[in-house]
Amino acid sequence: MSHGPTLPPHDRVLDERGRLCPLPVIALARATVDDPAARLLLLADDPAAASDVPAWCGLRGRVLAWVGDAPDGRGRAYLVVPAA
Amino acid sequence: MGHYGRVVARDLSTGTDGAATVSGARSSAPAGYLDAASTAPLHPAARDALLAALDQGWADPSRRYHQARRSRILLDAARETVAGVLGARPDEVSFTASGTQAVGLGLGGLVRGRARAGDRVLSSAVEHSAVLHAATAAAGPRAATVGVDATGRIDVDAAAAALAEPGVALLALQSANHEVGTRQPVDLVAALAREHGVPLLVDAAQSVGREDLPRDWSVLAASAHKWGGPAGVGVLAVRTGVRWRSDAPEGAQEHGRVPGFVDVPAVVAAAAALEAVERDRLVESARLSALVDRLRSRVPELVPDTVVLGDPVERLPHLVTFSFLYVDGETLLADLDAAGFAVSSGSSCVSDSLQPSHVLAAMGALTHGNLRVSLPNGAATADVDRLIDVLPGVVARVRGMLGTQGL
Repeated sequence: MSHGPTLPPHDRVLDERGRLCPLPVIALARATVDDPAARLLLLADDPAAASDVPAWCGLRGRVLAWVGDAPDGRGRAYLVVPAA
Repeated sequence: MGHYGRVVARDLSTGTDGAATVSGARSSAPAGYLDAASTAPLHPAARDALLAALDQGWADPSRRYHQARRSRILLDAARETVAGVLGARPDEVSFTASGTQAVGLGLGGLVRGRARAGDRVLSSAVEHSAVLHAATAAAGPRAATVGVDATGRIDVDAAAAALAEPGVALLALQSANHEVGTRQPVDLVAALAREHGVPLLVDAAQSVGREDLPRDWSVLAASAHKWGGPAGVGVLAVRTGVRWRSDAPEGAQEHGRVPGFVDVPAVVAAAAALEAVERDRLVESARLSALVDRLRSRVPELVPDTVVLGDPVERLPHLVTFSFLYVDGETLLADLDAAGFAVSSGSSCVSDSLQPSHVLAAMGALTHGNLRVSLPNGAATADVDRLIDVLPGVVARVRGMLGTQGL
């Protein structure tokens, strides 16, 4: 894995940086439909993602397991996983 | 008709060619205009009063000649009307050049008056940006916010804890939220603030002319264009005995609280609008609240993945906000504009800063696909029904453009 050691384990990266709401959340939804079991790491620099990713998780029964800076410092990283 | 109405009606009817009908004019809203929380259309009573007062109330009300006395009578009558609605004494009420100025002067005056007690300025996290900016301007890093729940209501326990800390200059809490309509527990928080000897600033901009107002405050601010008055008139009320210190130069207008020449005709128009709106308030607010209930129940039935925001009961009578999942707010507003609806959105794509609404963020709400509907007085039932008819198709079209079926 090419990311830094601070990132938690994940199955797939969705790099949505440079895209504005609601596109990052739609990418998250699409990847979840493709593989409901996947642990998804969403990278986004849209400030709305900070609100919309947890709000979407609440609506779709997913869990926002971790939030931190993106590996290269551009934007934020959101780890979204299936509910336990 | 109140004292103000009598004075203005008498003065205006003798002073102008056309009969100035201050009372009796009913507001009717422009078709499809559902953005009253941004600004209300000018009330016909305000228009009549403004035109008459331009002739009658132009002189400097602080001077000693007959034209000045006429201005003074109009200004005093307007102040009495507004004070009556706010539950204030006339000498507690000053007119400012805007609601934003009223907030800034009100907050700054409390901070100066409380300099020996502390310099920490507390605000709910969902205050209007005018309040948050004034807090930061006055207190810098000593400005702090108190969180809210998912409906936008202030966390009362957190407020109590923050008030108990030393060095608090004041707490700012709106009467009701301008984006999602949730009423704040002002009386409860006012009692907590009193326990700690902390003054409370209430931004009542969305509530004046719409609902019963909180009475327990140290400073209250409002804005006339929200109730159907003209732009350029704010209201600053400071309770007698509150430690509030102006930074205006000696001889400032409006009980020494406001710099600059007061716009008497605009103030007269603002008071005329408020008097007219108050006369119909109970009936009109109940009517609008029923329309909001209809929107709150029908829209989520007809549009899948709709989040209805704000408290369903403890709310403003005229305002409701939705977030539609996977919808781009900018396209939504453009489509609704094309369909003849003027509405607003707290989504980031609609803001100049590309930041989502701080209110929605503080609530933990979905910020995209956001739609605020705020009914002006006189809003047509048919407009609301047509919006309910149009929304499912508009939302489906926007979602279709983004290919979100099955998500």
